[in-house]
Amino acid sequence: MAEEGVYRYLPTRMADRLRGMGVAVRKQMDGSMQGLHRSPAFGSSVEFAEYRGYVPGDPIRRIDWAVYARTDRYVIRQFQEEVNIRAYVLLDISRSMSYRQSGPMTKLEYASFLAAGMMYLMVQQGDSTSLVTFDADIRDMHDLTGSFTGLKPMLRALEGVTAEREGDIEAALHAAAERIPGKAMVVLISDLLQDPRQALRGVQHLVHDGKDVTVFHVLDPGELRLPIDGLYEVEALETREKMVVDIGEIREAYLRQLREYLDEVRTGCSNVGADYILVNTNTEVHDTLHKRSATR
Amino acid sequence: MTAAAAPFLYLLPLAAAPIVFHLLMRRRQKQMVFSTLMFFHRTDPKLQSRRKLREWLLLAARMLLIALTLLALARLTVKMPSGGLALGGNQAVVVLIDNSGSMTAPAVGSARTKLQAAIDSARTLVGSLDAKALAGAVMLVDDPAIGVGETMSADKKATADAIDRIRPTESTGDGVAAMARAMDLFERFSPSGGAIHVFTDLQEAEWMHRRIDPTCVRPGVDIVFHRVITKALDSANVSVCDIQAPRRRILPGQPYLVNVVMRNQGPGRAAVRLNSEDDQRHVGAQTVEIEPAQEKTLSVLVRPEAAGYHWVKVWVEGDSFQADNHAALAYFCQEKAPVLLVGGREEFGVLPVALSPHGDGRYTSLVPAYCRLDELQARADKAKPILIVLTWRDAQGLAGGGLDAWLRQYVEAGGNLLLTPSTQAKPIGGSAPAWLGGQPAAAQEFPTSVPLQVLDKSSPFWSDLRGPDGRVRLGTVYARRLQALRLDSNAERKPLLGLGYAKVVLAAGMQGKGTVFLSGTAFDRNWNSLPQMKPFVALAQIIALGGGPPAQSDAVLVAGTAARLRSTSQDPVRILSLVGDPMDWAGPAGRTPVFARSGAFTVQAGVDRSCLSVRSSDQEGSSGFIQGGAVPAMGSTPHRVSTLADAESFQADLALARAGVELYLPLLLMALMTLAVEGWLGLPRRREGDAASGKVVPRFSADQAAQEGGRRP
Repeated sequence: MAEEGVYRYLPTRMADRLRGMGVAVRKQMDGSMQGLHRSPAFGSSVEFAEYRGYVPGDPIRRIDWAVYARTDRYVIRQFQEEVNIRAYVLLDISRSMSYRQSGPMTKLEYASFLAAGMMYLMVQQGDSTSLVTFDADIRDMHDLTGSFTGLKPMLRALEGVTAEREGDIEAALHAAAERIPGKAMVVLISDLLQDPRQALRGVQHLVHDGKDVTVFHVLDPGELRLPIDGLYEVEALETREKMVVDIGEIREAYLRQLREYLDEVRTGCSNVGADYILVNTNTEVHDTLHKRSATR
Repeated sequence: MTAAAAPFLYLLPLAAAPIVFHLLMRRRQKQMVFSTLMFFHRTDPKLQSRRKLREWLLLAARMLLIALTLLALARLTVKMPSGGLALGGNQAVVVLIDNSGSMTAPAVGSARTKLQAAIDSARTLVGSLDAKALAGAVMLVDDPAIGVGETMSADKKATADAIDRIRPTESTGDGVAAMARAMDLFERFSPSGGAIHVFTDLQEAEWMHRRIDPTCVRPGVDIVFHRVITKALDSANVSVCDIQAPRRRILPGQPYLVNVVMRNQGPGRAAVRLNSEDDQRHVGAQTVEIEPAQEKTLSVLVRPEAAGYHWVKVWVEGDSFQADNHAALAYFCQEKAPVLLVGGREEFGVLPVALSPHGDGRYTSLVPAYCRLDELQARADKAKPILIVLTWRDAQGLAGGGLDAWLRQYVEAGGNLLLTPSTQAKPIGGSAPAWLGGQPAAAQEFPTSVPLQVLDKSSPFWSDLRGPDGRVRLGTVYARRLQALRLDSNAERKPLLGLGYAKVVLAAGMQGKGTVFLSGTAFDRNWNSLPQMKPFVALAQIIALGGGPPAQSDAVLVAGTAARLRSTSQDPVRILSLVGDPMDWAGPAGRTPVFARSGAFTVQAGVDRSCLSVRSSDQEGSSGFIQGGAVPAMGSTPHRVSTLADAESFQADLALARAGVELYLPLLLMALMTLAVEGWLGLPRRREGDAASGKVVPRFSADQAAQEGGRRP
């Protein structure tokens, strides 16, 4: 589909490696088109569900003649209705996502690779997808598309995304929950650098609305390890607040706080029924997506 | 403190290098942009203060490490006050040697005397001083006979020679005064200070009762007492407590008794011999036994052959302590003395015979002469009589005349005057001069003789007639005729003999330096029985030679004290020795030297000449010794007390003090310990709470998360 070097965040080599990989959902989804994923209603899709006796009014073409030949009974085969998925990729473009310390790229760049790959996977398996960018609110929400042609504008849009504003994940997720209709798949790609309780409230809102939520928690290796030493005046990217610390002195305490924070986020996601994947920007995007596909 | 490799000490400022580097480095604060501060805000704020504390401790450890290493490399040696020897720093040492009598006793554990041990140790100490060090010697008892010469100099040989010349004395010293003299040496020669080393047995008599004046203590002067332990006495110790001259004027050829009082201060019964020797080579010895804590008095006979100054010395042999066994006595023997009797010989009964049986002074050294009243002054001026005998009749005619004044002047200058009734002439009536202090009443005769009584038995007048039991051996004197004396209460004439105090027959009293004898009875057998009694001769001698304190018993000093002379003359006082330490001293009366040993001396102040006797101090054999580490005489002045066991151990202590203690190894060990501490402080810290609380590690680890993935997309 895509030509070599055309899309920054979906290079050909990456698209080739993603080919054949699938994404499943845990919940039953609403869909307008027949697809790979179960619908809450029974229908005439290909996945067998059960037999029931024929009743007048049933279409003659749904009688299972092979059963009639063996049992001399008219039975109707019922199938699970299979629909396509509406997958919304929520990309955090708040200013903290522009951080890069020891990783190969900024968190936003990595998240963009991840979003492109995720959308490509969805279209590739016949589902429809949409890109939603947010910081303190929804900044951009593309129309759903189920074709590679429709995917192109979103891939182009990713290339123009910049992290300039202060973020508010909870508020943005509440807004997304209002704007995403029905039971859909939501892929949240963010560094979640907010009070975990607040961020989890937004996730919980999405899950409560019936969304199948997957959280990609993207962090830089520098944030995970704090691999520097010395006395620093540290400035926060979003708030511009400054603080003088001896990194070597407080590293242990920092990592301890980080562990507690990550544990709280992971536990919170698990409790509300969302999938949680911590992502180090050193990790290859394909491996991260493969981890998502392997979880179902 | 000395350094064998002093250049390393110049590198000591390098010890400050860590703090300099730290101050320079800590200014380099780097800037960093980070995604969020939320995790930094959650860290424990105490970590910062702990880090700073550990940082400063680390700095201190590093500075200490450098300093200790440099000091170790400098090969420091510190001269410790080992064994109480303050020999460090600026060397200026004064040795104060106790040369009092008690130091003649043997030291514990040694055959030598304490003084010998002290001298040996002091000489060793002086000999061990550096070439530039100042040294001086002071004696506890100033001993003019030795001539140590209290000074300080770098000539240690001279000081050691002076110490060698020190001899034992028979004195009790004054520790406070000696310490003041030692301090004075520092003021004159070494104001920056030094050390005083006192070698003494710390006898209480010398170091207990007085306190040093803090104002005379020089700053920077260490005081170290080296106690020489005294061997306890286990046998008798007899000391001479007093020597008493005859209580009368002494005339040539006459025997006199010198009393020597001895006391046994030891625990055992004493059987000792008292030896005597005088200037005429008369020697004598008497044995005596004295119980513990008892006194005995022995008499030594002296008989000066010629007029002039004489001496006698006595000493005890046979007890366990010698320094308190000596005494000497100086006395003056007059020329044969004329006795001037005013009137005819027959008027005085047998008195002239009692004064001089042959009339030429052959046995009594008294030569009677007779004159008329109008010749008295001329005869007396020509040859001063020792006694003028005047009848009441002549005295009653004197009042208010020129002869009256002359006679009074004669008595007050030291002459004796006897007033007696004449055996021949009757009183003419009238009154004798009032200054005589008494008047005779009318003569009274008794049909039968009446016994006279000795009225004042304790009077010194009777001393030569008093027996060993203290009673006056006069016998019973019977009077047939007498003229009772009416004594003037203001004149202090003491009744000596009479029919009770109502009828006093004989009285005497001092008038200036002389004595006035008033008699209400003539010395004739028609008046009383005295001329027929043997004691009458002695009585006549007493009257002639004076009944008051004898002139020659001027002073008996205890060794270790200075004479307190009173001189009205502007001329300097001169003291010459008769026996004992040679002395020919002249100077102000208030600055006489200390007499270190027993001896006899003459003192000349202007035209006056007197005697001075010195006996050994009886405290030296009896006083206790100060125990413990504080010397009361030093008061609050800092000092140390060490025990001088023997010269060899003292020499070993001295060698240790001189060599000092090598600090290389201790400093190296301390540097290694500091290095270990520095390493421990420099180790990365784990957060204290984790290990202590045993808190469960969270299920998810950031490190684990960081290991996820690995390749770039």
